[in-house]
Amino acid sequence: MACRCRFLAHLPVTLEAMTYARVFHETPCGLQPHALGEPQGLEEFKQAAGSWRIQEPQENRRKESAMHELSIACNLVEIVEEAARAAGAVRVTRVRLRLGDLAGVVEDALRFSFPVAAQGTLAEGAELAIERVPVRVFCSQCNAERTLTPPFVYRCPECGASRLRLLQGRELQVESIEIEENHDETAHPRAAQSSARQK
Amino acid sequence: MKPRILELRKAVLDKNDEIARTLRARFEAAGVFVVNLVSSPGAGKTALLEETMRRMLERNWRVAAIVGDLATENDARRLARSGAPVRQIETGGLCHLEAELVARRLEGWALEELDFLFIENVGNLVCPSDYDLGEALRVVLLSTTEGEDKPNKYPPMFHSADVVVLTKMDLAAATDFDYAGAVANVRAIAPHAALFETSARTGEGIERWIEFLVARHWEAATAASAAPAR
Repeated sequence: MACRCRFLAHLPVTLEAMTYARVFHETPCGLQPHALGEPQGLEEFKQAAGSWRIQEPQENRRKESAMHELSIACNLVEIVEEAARAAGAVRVTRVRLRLGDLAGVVEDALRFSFPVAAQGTLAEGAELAIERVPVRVFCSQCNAERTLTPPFVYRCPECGASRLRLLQGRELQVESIEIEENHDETAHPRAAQSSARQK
Repeated sequence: MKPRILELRKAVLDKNDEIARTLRARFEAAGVFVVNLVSSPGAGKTALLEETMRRMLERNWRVAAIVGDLATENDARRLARSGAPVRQIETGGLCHLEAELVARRLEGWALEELDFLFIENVGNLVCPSDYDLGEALRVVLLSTTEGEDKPNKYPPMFHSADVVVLTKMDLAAATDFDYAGAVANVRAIAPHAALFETSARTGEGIERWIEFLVARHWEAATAASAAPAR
């Protein structure tokens, strides 16, 4: 299947994906099951999955928009891995992300998608630390900053004016990553031995 | 071993935004006005576009369309009936269009020979809101057969809209569409958005919508020519 998202490119490989496919049928995502290829039998499916982790479908709650978060997670992993590789890391242990309330990304779904997208990359097993960014606006009538709450009606909560300037709330940004570099003892057993001899 | 912290401060969609910026500059240089149409599936993007392009072609506007769809070419075929050049992007499962997909599909197209390029996004009110395609105008459709609370359910998408078009107005009575409620919701979430009411079937509101597009194109063109060369 021609798809830039690495995870989707390996479809059909996980049951989650198949489950999504069905869930999505009824969602605004509008993904149709046939778009993910012909459904296969469970056994063939597990075989096709190969080394990929298979999770039995359990609960589908709150995964309505997970396909979106999956592609976001793939973008995220791509950025993280590129930076980690450039820095000579062997492993990424933590990814810190700023996520605005108006970013259009469901946190739970992103948390669920991240490990899937990170499989087989330097970010596999990394912790995803998400910092939520509330929607802040500047009201020129009050001459003050205000916070908007769901459903994010674009009006000043104090004076009702709609002449607002969005200050923050659409962020979807990798702040930092924590990496391990390639100079520990397990990676270089000989170096470890020589340093032990010196002692 | 102590882990090292690497500061990135990089937007997750940085790559897309960068390609979108390049596209936008290309569109502006070519003088083509690009409109990105988004809505939930079945809200009438194709029907609105078919009617819009047909009428614009009659007036000798040079229009074209790019259609994003998960799997079929049905919409592209329908749009081609208007007589305009149409290209299809089959996303193969991806639930939105990305700037790179659009850029790739533009190859070999003489943008200078176009006045308007419509991009029909994948039917979806969630994902496309995050992906800038380099468009001059983002249009969100809301049909009378959907709930009037759609703007409240999908604030990021409606908030990012420059224009909201109510479609299938001919069905409003049959579906007990709460017109006042829908307008109030759009106004609440996207007070900056221009609002249109259309019916592709009866032609209601299509002329006003086209006039608006032409006016915005003209504005963009004159602003571009008035701007000092950088």
